Amino acid sequence: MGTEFTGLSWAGRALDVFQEEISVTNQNISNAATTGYSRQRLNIVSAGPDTGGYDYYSDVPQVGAGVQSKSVEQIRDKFLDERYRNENATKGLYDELSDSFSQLESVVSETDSTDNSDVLTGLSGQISTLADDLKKLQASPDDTNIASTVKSQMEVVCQTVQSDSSQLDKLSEQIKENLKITVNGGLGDGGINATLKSIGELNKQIAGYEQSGQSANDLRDQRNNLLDELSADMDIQVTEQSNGMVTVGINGDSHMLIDSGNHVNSLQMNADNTKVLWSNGTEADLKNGSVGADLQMINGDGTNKGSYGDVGIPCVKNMLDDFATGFTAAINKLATGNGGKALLSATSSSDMRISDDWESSDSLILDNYSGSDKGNYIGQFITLFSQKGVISQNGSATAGTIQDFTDSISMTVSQRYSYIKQMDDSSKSIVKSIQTARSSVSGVNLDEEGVNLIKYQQSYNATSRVITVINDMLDTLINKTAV
Amino acid sequence: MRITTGMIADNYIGMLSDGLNRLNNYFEQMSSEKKFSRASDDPADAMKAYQSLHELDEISQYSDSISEAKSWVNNSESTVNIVNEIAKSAQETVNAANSNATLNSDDEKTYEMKLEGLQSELLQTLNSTFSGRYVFGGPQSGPAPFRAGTAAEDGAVNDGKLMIYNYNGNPPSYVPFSGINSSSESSMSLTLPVDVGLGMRTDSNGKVVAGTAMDIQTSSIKMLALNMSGTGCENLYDVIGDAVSKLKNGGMPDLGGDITKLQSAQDGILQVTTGIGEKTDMLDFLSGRNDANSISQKSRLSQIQDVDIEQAIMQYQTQQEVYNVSLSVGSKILQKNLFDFLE
Repeated sequence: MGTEFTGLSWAGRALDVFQEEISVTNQNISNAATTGYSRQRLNIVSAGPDTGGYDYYSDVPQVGAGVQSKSVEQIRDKFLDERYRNENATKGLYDELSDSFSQLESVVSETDSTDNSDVLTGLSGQISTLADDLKKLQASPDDTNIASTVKSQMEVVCQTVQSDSSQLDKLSEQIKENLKITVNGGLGDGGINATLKSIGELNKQIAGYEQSGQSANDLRDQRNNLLDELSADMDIQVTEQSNGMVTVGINGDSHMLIDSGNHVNSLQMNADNTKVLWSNGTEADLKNGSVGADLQMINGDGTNKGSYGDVGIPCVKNMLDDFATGFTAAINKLATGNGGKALLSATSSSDMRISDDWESSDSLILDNYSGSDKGNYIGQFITLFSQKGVISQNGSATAGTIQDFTDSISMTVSQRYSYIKQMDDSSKSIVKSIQTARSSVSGVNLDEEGVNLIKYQQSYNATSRVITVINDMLDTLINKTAV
Repeated sequence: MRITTGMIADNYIGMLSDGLNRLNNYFEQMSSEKKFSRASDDPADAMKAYQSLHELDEISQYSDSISEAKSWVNNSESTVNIVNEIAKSAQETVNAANSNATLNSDDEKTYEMKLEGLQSELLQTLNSTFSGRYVFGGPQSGPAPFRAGTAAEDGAVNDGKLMIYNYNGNPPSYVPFSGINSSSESSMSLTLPVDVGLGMRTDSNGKVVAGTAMDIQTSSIKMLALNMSGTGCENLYDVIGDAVSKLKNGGMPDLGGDITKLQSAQDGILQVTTGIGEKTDMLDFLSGRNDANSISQKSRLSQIQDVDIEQAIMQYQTQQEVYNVSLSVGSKILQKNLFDFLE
C-alpha cells in the first residue's frame, strides 16, 4: 500500500485518461461524416498494484494503481476490406462497360428510343426500304424515276454504313483517351500512377510512425481510401507486412505494383493506347475493374471468350466490314453478270459507296441489262434479300438472310448490354451490402458517442470528487492533527 | 447488427435513387406506350418486334405491288375488249359485204374504207401504252411492238401484213407475224413478273421460277394468232387485210372464209379475256389475304411491345405516392440523435 500521495497521483492519472477518452470521442464525432473514417477507441487497462519491488506474495491487501491508457486503436475489419476491394473491381468493370455500351448501342440501334413510330431506322430498316424500292422497280422495269429512287436508297444504305463505322471509330478513340487518363492522369499527373505514388508515400510515413509502437490511425484511413479508389480501376491484391507497409499486386499477374521494398512500378500505355504495359514492356493482365472494361471495349472482337474475346468495338466493326464487302460483292456479281458495270465499291465499312459509273448514270442498274426480260433481271436483285448465306462472317457464310445479319449487328450489342446491366445491378447491391457491413463495424454512431461522452464526463466528475476528498483528508492530517 | 448514422444516410440515398429510377421508367413507358424503349431492356422481345416490323414492311410493299398489278391487268383487259369490238365490227362489215346482193363499186369502196379504218384502229390499239410500257410488251422508250409491213423494209410479200417486234431476237427486229409457228411462239413470249408475296425465286439462269411471282403480261400472240401450225399462223389484222384486198379486186368476192376466221378470232380473244379474269381474281384473293396478314401482324407487334396504358398509369401514380412518403419519412429519421436531447 502506498502513501496518501499515491492516491492523488493515481486520481490525476485517471483524470488524464478521461480527458484522453473525451478527446477520442471528440475525434470520432468530428469525423462522423468523413469518408473511410474508422472509429477510434482508447485502449485502457486498469493498472496492477504497485508492489514496490516485492513479489505478489504479501498478506497485506493490494489495490490496483488506477487506470492507464495503452493505445488508440481503430476498429476496422481487414477481411471486409479485402472482400470490398474484390467486389468493387467487378462493380467497376460493369459500371464502365454499362456506360460504354449505352453509347455503343445508340450507334447501331435500329429503334430510336424517343420515337413512337413502328419503323426501324437503322441499317436493317434501310435495307428493307431498298428491297421495297427494288420491288417497285420490278413492276415498272423501264421507269427511270424509280431507278433513280433505287440509286438514292442505295446511297442511304452506304452512308449509314459509313457513318456507323466512323462513329465506332470515334467512340474507340474516346475510350482510349479515357483509359490513358485513368492510367496516367490528365496533364501527366493524377490517375493510377499518381495514386500508387501516394500510397508509397503513406507506406513510408506509416512505417516510420509505427516504429514507436503506436498505430498511425489517420494515415491508415487515408491509405485505405486510396486503395479503395484503386480497387475500382483494377483487381488489386493488398497484403500488409509486419512493418505496417502494404504490398499491392494485381490478381492473376505476377508483377507487383508496389513491392515489398516499397518500390512503385508504374503502368504505361502502349503506342496506340490499346494495351496497358508494365515498365519492362510486358502486357499487364487486367481483366477486371474499369481499366479491364476499357480494354475490352477497345480490343473485344467477339471470337472467343476470355482474353478480350467478348463483344467490343472491333467485334461490331468487323460485322459492319463483313456486311460492306459481302453485300457489295453480291450486288456487283448480279450487275456485272451480263457484261454490265459494277454498282457499288467497298474495301471496308469506312469507304462503302456507289461506284463512279453509277454516280454518273442514274439508271445504270437497268442499263446493265440489254435484254428484254428486265422484270426477271430485277427479280434476281429482289431474291438476293431472301437468300441465305449471302453475307460471310469471319470467312464462313452465315446461316441467315442479309437482314438477319444486319439485325444481328444491333442484337449482338443489345443482348450483351442487357447481360451487363443485370451484372451491374447485382454487383452494385453486393458492394452496397459489404459497405453496409464495413460501416456497421467502423462507422460512427452519434448516439453511442453521446453516451460515451456522458460516461466519461461523469467519471471525470467523480474522480474530481475523489481528489477533493483525498485533499480534505490530507488537510485534516497535516493541518489539523496534533496542532 | 450495429447501426451507424452513415449507414442510415447511405441507405436512404440509395432507396430514394431507386424510387426515382422506377418513377422514370414508368414515365417513359407511359409517354412512349411501349414496354421497352431500348432493345437492351428486353432483347428477346426486341428480336420478336424486329421480325414483326420486317414482316409488316413486306406486307405493305406487297399491298402496293398488288394494287399496281391490278390496275395494269384491268387496263390490259379493257384493251383486249377493244380488240374484241374491232373483230366483231369487222365481222359485221364483212358479213354485210358478203350478203349484199347488189354490191357495186361504190359500196365496195365504202366497205374497204371501213375495214381499212378498223385495221388502223387495231394497230393503234395493239400499240397502246399504260404506265410507261406498251401493253403488249416492251418499254415505251423502245420500238412499238407492232407495225404494218412495207415493201421497202420488209419485202413485197410482207407489204401491208402485220409485223411484230421480236424483243427476244438476237438481234431484236421486226418479223412477220404470220411466220410465228408453234415452236417459235415460246421463244418470242414476254413476261412481266411481279413479286406479290408468293415467295419469288430465281433459277440458276436468272429467270423467275414460274408460280413464285405473278406474271401480268398479256400475250399478244395468243390473242391474235389463228390456226397456228408448225409452219406459221394467220392473224386478225391479216384476215381483215385479206377481205380488203378481195373487195379491191372487184366483182362479187366470196368472203365466207374470212367471216369464219373472224369468228374464230373472237373465240381466241375470249380465251385471253378469261385468262385475264383469272389473274384479276387471283390478285383480289391475294389482296384480301395480305390485308388479313397485316392486321394479324400489327396485333402481334402490339402484344409484344405495347404497354397496357391503364396499368402503366396506375404504377406511375403508386410509385409517385411511395416516393413522396419515403421523402417525408426519411427526413424525420435523419434529424434526431442523442445530442438533441442532452442538456
